[in-house]
Amino acid sequence: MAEGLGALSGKEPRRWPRSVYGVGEDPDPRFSFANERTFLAWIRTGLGFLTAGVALSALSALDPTRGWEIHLASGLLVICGVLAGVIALRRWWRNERAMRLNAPLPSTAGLMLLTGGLILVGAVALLFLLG
Amino acid sequence: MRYHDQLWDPGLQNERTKLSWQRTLLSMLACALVVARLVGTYAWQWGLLVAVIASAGGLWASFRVRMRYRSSQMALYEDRALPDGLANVALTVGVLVVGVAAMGYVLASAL
Repeated sequence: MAEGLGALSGKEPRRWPRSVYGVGEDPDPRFSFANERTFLAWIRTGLGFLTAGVALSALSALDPTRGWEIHLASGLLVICGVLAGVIALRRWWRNERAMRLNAPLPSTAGLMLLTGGLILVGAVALLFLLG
Repeated sequence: MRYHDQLWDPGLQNERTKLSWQRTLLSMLACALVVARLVGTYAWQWGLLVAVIASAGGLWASFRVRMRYRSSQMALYEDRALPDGLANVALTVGVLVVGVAAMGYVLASAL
């Protein structure tokens, strides 16, 4: 998508974002493709969280007395989903930049954040079962 | 940066990326439709709107993914630049929009 106007004229197109494509030089295409697939995998993870959160909220009708814990867990899952989507883009951006500059790939706290979110949801579920 | 003369098949990476895009669009469509269905229990207009936008957007995006694959193929064989990050941002924005709708549903069913 947005293949660039220069693609037809034979010149190198101006690619967005400049903060990525304006520095360094093109890495091995295999690495760019792999980076893109990683980004898409993060997006799918986020969508999974969103679906889980929404489905959980819909199931809360089964036990109306336990309303607020279930909705808290649903809200946390939805937040994790949106977070994963943002992490996806940020990670892709930072990785592509690092590859272009031949720099070491940056680490991410995202994995820990998401794991923390999952643990939190599990804690709420435990609370719900024991309470 | 010439790759044609090396023992390297440029088609597979591109094809794997295309399949990854298709998987992602499918997940996106499924999630958006689930959210649309549940939002629809509160306000059928909003649910229908989300469903129509998601379906139309998914159809359009799947055509664009095919175009992206073909232009990437040409770019690989002719040593030109690969597609940029505009589509990635669009996808993240899509996730954000679905996330807002999902949160709306969670709050509506909580209150």
